[in-house]
Formats: sequence, C-alpha cells, structure tokens
Amino acid sequence: MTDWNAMSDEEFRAEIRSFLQQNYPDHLRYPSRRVRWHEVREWYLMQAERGWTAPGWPAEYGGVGLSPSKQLIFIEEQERYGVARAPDQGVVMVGPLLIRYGTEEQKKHYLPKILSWENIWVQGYSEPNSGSDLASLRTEAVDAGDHWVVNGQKTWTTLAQDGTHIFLLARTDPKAERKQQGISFLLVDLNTPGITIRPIRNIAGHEEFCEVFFDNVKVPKNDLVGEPNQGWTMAKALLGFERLFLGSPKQSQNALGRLDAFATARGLHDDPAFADQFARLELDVADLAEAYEAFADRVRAGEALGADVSWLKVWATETFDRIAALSVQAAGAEGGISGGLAAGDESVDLLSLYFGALPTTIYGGSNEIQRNILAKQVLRLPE
Amino acid sequence: MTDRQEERRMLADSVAGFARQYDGIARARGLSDGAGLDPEAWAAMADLGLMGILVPEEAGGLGLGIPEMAVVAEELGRNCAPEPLVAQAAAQAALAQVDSKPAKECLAGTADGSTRLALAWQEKADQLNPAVITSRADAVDGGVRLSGSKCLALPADADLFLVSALDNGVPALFLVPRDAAGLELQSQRQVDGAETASLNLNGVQLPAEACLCTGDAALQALNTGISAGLTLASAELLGLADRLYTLTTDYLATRKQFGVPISSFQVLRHRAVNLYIQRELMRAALNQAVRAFEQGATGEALQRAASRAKARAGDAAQLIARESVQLHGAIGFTEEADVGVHLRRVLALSAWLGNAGWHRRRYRTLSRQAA
Repeated sequence: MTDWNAMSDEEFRAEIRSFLQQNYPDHLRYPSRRVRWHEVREWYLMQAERGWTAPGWPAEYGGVGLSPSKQLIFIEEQERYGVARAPDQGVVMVGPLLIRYGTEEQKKHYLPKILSWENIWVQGYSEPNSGSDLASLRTEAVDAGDHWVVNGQKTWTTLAQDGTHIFLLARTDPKAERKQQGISFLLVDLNTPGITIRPIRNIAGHEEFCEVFFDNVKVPKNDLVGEPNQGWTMAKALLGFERLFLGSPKQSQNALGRLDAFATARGLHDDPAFADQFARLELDVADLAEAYEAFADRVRAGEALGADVSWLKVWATETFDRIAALSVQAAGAEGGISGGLAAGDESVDLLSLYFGALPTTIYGGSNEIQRNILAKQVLRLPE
Repeated sequence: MTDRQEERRMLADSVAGFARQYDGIARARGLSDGAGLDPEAWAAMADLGLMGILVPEEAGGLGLGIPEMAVVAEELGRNCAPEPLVAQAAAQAALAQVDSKPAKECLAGTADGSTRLALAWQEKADQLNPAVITSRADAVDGGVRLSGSKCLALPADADLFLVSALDNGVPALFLVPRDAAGLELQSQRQVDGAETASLNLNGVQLPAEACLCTGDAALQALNTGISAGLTLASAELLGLADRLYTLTTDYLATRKQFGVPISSFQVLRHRAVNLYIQRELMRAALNQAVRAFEQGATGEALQRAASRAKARAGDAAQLIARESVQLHGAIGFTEEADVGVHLRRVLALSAWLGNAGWHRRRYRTLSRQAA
C-alpha cells in the first residue's frame, strides 16, 4: 500500500491533482448550487472502492490516515478543481465522533457503512428557536427503559431528503443546571416511524435544507454516543482544524475569477470606478489567501487552532459577499436576469454567485456570533 | 525558531528597550509643537545600530536586509517614534544598490548618524513613476550641472539628497549636498510636524563623481529604494495601528458609562473586532512584501508586492485611526489623548510615496501585465 504521508507535499499534491484531472467528471466542476446525492453518487462510490471516502480517518478504521498537512492538501486540491461536495457529515462528524467516543459495537456497525456510503448522515443541530443559541435546544429524548422516545423539531438540515440517518443533539436532562448540560448525542435511522422530512425552498429556489420532525420516535438505547448528557462537550471537542475551511479563500477566488471573465468580456475594466472596486476586492482576496496560509502553516506544524481562526471566516465570507454584490452591479440592467449572461464565448451566472454568497455569513456560526467569540476569547473585552 | 527569526526577535526587543527609555509619543508631540527632533534620541538610535541595518558591514553597518528593517520600523511605529528612519532607509536601500566609493562613504555617514540622507526623485505630487524624469544633468567643465525641481523629499533637513535627473536622455542618480551652489530648498510641513523639502535645482554645480550610476542601474536602484520605502512604511503603519488597537481596546475595557465598562456593549465589541481584523490583514499584506525581498524579487514583481502592502496598510491604518478617535469619544479628539498623535503619523505615512488608491491602481496594472 502506498504510504501517502511519506510522500513530499509537492508529490502528493501533484498526485491528487492529476488524479482529479484524469477522473473527475467535467460537468460536475464548480456546481452553482449544492448538488444532490444522485448527481455525485457515482463519483463518490468510485472513491469508496479505492478506499478514499475518509482520507482523515485512521487506517485501522478504514480511512487513509492522512496527516493534517496532507489532508489540507487533499481538501485544497478538491476545492481548486471545483469538486462537488458529498453529503459528508458521516465522514466529517459521525465517524470522528464514534472513533473518539463510540462503543466497539457502534464503531463496527456504523463506520463501514459510512465508508461505503450505504448510510448518508445528516446533521440535527439547529431548531426553529435555537439557532445561534444552540444550547437552548428543546428536542427531547425521554428514557423509556429499553429505548429513548424523541419528540421535537430540527431545521436547516442540509439535504435531509437524501439522508438515511441523522445525528441529533437532544435534551435528555431538562433539569440540568446549565443549558449546555443535559444534552446527548443520538444516532437515528431516518426510516424510523414518526419522522417527517419537509424540504425548505431557499431564496435561490433550491431545496437545499429541510425541517425534520420527530413525533414519538423510538431510538434504541445503544444509539446514544458516549455518556448521557455529555453531547455538548463532545460536539465542541469535534471542532478541529476543519474550522479553517470556513475561512478558505477558494470561494472568493473562484467568484472573483468569474467576475473578472465577465468584466473583461464586457470591457468593464476600462471604467476607473469599477477598476478601483475590482482592485480592492482583488487585494482583499489576496490578503485573505496570505492569512489563510499562515493558519494552514499552524495546522501543518501540528498546532491546534485557537479562537482567532474566527476572523478568517468573517473576512472570507464578507469578501465573497462583496464580490457577489459587485457582480450583480457589474451586470447592470441585466442584473435581474437569471441563468448565465453572455460574456464573450462563455456564459457567466452572476446571480448564482450572489445567492451562493448570501448564506455564507450565516452558516457555520453567523458572523455576528464569530465577532462575539473574537471579542470575548481573543480581544478579551470585559462583558 | 530559526536563527533569522531569533535575530529578528532580538532586534524587536532591542528597539522595545530603546522605546522604554525614550518616550516616542513625547517626541512626536515635540515635533508637532515645532521643537524639532530630539538629538539625543537620534544619537541613541544610531548607537543601537538602527540606522545601519541596511548599510553593508564594510561601510560600518549591520549588513542586514529589509525584513530586519521592517521589524525595526514596526516597533518604532508601535512607539510612535517621529524620527524619519524609514524615509532614510528608503534612500539607503537605493544607495546600497550602487557599488561606488562615494555611495559607501555616504552610507557610512548615515549608519553612524552623522549624515542624514533623503530620496529626492519625485517631481510632481501626482507623478509616482520614478522613470518619468524631467530634471536634467548637463555636462560642464569638470562636472555636471543639474536643473529642474523635486518635491516631497523626506526629511527636509537631510545633509545629502539622492536626486534623479536625465543625462542626455539617460536616467542618472546624483548625490547632492544641501549646501550645493544653486540648490534652493523650501520646506513644507506635514501634519505630524515633520518637514518635507522641495528642491529647486537652479543649475546645481556638482563634480563628476557626484554621479553614482546611470541607465537601468539608476532606475533599478530607485525602484528598489521606493519598494523598500513602501514596505517599511507599511511596517511602521502596522506598528502604529497595533498601538492604536491596544489603546482603544484598553479604553473600551476601562471606560465606564451607565455603570458598566463600555466594552460590554455589543456594537462596540463588534467594531473593536473589525479593527483587529484590519490589523491582521495589514500583517498578512506586509508579510508577503517582506517575503518578496527575502526571495530576491526585483522589478515589477517587487513593485507589485510593495504596492499591495502599502495599499492595505494605508487604508487599514486610517480606518483603525479614525475608529480609535470615535471609540474614545470626545476625549479622542483632544491633544491630551494619545490617539491623535498616532493619527497624525498615520496620515503622513499613508500619503508618503503614494496613498492606498494610487497603489491599488498600480497593483492592478502590474497584475494585468503579469497575467
């Protein structure tokens, strides 16, 4: 077997890059919306057969066991090539959770099915009244002897309509002193009676996320992960260096490239006002990329990321948002036309950029929450 | 930590040590009040070796580079030091490109603090391309005669000016002493109290050896000096911005209104975070310019990196400075508060060698050419 970690970074990067160039389907590059499972299934099943579903998992659990620095390269190359994201919550969240806190039985049962994509996991965190204040969640799991009974509602569950399983944060001790205590991690089969999934149509017209309702849903006792009432602590412990990717410059670089193509074809760079706005964004993206690399260097050196990584998310997403806003301005009187706009030989869909950018300042912890975190933990401002 | 990092840390420590002994803000106020620069602080800086960082060892300097000088500039900015070390360093960086005896002698004088040197290349405030030269050098008996004009040379009280002129249509660099016959100096006061000079070259008579270099070598030396100046000004601006950030977040944490520290108000917390983000961006933009020097970049690649640093530093430092005044409230608008002293330095430095808007345009032009 190839020892990927023994390769030099350059060699490994070249390997991933050429593999994608030779194998990844062209029509799935840089999708303008979150793709559905049936669209990418074939590609990801092929990766599963090669044993590449979970590059970051230890080899003993069926992963590739890549070091953080190699994982970073792997993800950077996927982003660079515009590879469509899989419904990867099983790989990113459930797997690491079980590897760290699961029983042998849970690992044996669930991990192989994540690797083979037989199980598609979706996330059950947010609720209608618990968004930024997630710890106030009210979906409850009541001990009924040999099983839990779950009642409540989750929302913003990405592509739940494609999922087979959901991992839930549910309240198991309503009397706990602090709201963060008394929350447990449950693994739930979406086919269990009492579960209703209702897709939510977003403002771009796509059904990207869903509401998930639980009405007296019976969950086996052994599908609770770790200790009861420790769900919050476990969820926090799972926040690893993946937070870095929320601050990746790739979305902005890609958006700026598309705006550039449009502006060049339409002669907009000759307009000094546009040129200055464009140059400003170009520098915003360039400095973002420089800062991102400094954080990535820390990951490569094996350091844990601190709360300061939050500023990268704020800057990355707000930069993306500014590019998207300028794009629609650049389209002028055609700014309201949906679909691609003619730009020389190409067609550039500027509205999809616009709608793509809007949620980025909300998801992954809204930018207001990120600023709260920075003010408290990094600036250490007294409250 | 690598040896170079260790060396830079020690350099930063030694400037910080200097700053504890000599209060930069007091000196900056002195300069604003018309008291001029403090000769004792200047001599102490020379003793520390800060003026010889870019000067080769054989000329009595430390023979270090822009990365080390950037560490010094940042630390001086953090202490609001008003001395024109960065302006002189730009001239030193240009002169260090010239391999000649007069150049070495001049550099040696700058290193020990006995000679002050200024770049005098700009001819019009809005013409920032050093290749556009209208001043002329004409051969005369036993030497050359310079005619034309220069502006915005910093510091105005330099003993020697590094002047560009066309010799038969070819760019050339000259060392011009301030007492040269035919040189008329006028100074203009900057907002921080420092003075820049306009030079009227009314047939300035110089010996032939005053010409240091000609042609591409002259333009390259100028470009290197200007890129160094831009990078170092960005470092000094980062230091100033960092101090403003600290002053402001400290103020938010201690100032009480409505019975609570005003840092408890979310709108102020978020604005403080925005300042933090701007400061981090300044550091990122500066790091890439410093790296360009480390990697030996030249020509347009170097100019592009330097423009990028200055574009970010100019805008971000001004934003941080204005916000610092606002977040201090009325006291922030007084001379008593330290923010204003920093703000004036920020204004002067962000305009020097071209403001953010100009450097964004140059960055964009160079990027499109490179693509």
